[in-house]
Amino acid sequence: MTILLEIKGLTKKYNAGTVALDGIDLQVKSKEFIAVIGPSGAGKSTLLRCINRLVEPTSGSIDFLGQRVEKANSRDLRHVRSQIGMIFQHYNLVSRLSVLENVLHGRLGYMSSIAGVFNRYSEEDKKKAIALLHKVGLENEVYKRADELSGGQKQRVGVCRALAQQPQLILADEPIASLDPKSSAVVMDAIHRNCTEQGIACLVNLHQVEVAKQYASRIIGIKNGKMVFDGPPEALTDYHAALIYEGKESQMYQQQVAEEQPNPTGRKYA
Amino acid sequence: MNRAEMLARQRKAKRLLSLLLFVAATLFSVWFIEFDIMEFLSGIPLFLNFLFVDFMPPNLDDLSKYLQPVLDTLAFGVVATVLSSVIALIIAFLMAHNTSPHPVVRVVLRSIISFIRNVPFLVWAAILVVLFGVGTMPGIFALILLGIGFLSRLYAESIEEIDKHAVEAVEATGATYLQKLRQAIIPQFMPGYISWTLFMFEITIRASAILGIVGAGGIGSQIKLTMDLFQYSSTATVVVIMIIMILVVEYVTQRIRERLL
Repeated sequence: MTILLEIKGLTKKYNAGTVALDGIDLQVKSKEFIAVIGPSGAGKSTLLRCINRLVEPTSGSIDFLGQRVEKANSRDLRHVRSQIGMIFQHYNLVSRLSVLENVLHGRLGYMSSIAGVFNRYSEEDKKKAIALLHKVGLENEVYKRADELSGGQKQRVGVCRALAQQPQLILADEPIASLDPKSSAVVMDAIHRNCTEQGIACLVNLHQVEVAKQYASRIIGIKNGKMVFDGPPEALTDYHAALIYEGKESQMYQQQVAEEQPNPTGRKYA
Repeated sequence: MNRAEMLARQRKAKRLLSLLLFVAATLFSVWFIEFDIMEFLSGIPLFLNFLFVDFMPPNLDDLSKYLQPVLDTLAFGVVATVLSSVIALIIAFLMAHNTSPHPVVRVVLRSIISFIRNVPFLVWAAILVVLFGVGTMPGIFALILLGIGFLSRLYAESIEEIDKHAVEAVEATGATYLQKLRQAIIPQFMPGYISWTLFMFEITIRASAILGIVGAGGIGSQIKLTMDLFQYSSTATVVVIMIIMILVVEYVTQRIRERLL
């Protein structure tokens, strides 16, 4: 297994003085499915966003396939980003565009600027995007506008957009925190299955320990910007979990109240 | 005397003082501009007489004569709206904080736009008439300036209000600046763009009716022309035509908005 991502001494201080990350060291090997757990405010989201520099790290080094991400110029950064898919808590779709167009956004990093501006996606890209949507059970929603979908469906579109990048690594930032339990399972299954099948490494932020244990091949615990646990799911005992969530125990099992209706057809997709 | 009572008295004194100051300011202003209340009151019958006797009935004899100025005005509106919306669009992208290439560009453009907007429209028209002479060109230029000042700011505000999350996601795919604009920002900005541009068209129609007063052509110049010739019944016709035109434009833009949004 090759080393995909190597983070050393990653620190992020926000302007207000809060230290979100305090010297994180992390190695991600290819095909790993890593769950990052920890209470809200622990720095999970900042960690993921520093990897593709949606948030600028304060210090430390990030090495992605031999490329120093923190030093990359804008051109190299785009190249790095094109190989890293990202899934967001709030789906982050362009609501006025179609589902297909949102998935095709995953191809932008591989196109010339002008081709992207004029929607000159290749036929192959379109076919692959539609195939991805079929695979997650959205074959009837391809040409619908993104804002017509339910939350669970939107997140599956988000997953397809990340997969359309044919990435080496997927960063999923609380992908199921805004979903009901049923949609959560569908979305987690879709992420896990596709990553396993296509050999994509994945870093997924979660706050539910149970979900993390169910899917992950490795679990990382973060607390106050520091890594306090790193090991296989079996090694994460109740003692560790209690330590990570000390003072915020309620978040451990918390399944946030569903914001949206579950998928009306009730079918389970993966 | 307790504290609450003192506070109440203080408040009462403050209120009395502000009232006195307000009355004093009004009295001073009336005295200063030599405002004659009797002249104002005795003017009312004169005004009503003018409105209902001199203006009535509207002279409908040469309706066809006004067709040309009406078409002129509509064409002014279309040209000015299209040109100013194109220019304002570019300025807005350079000026909105989430799309501006550099803070300096943003600040410079913001000041220029704010200057254009803060010079009243009729002052622009008057200056341009002096520069280009009486005719249609100063009118169109004034409308374009009005449009640029108005639209740049509103477009920029709409751009700043769009959902940042979707933009972030497109950035995360490795998209370039132009791709980000086209794929994430423009689709979300479209409703704002269409609705402000249509509103701008309504404003240009109203404004171009006024423009004639400073000699810049269009239907407004017919008002001035007929009044200068004491043909008040014709003036009345022009005013009615203007009102109808504005109502029709409002109706049409409303329908377009409903169809598109």
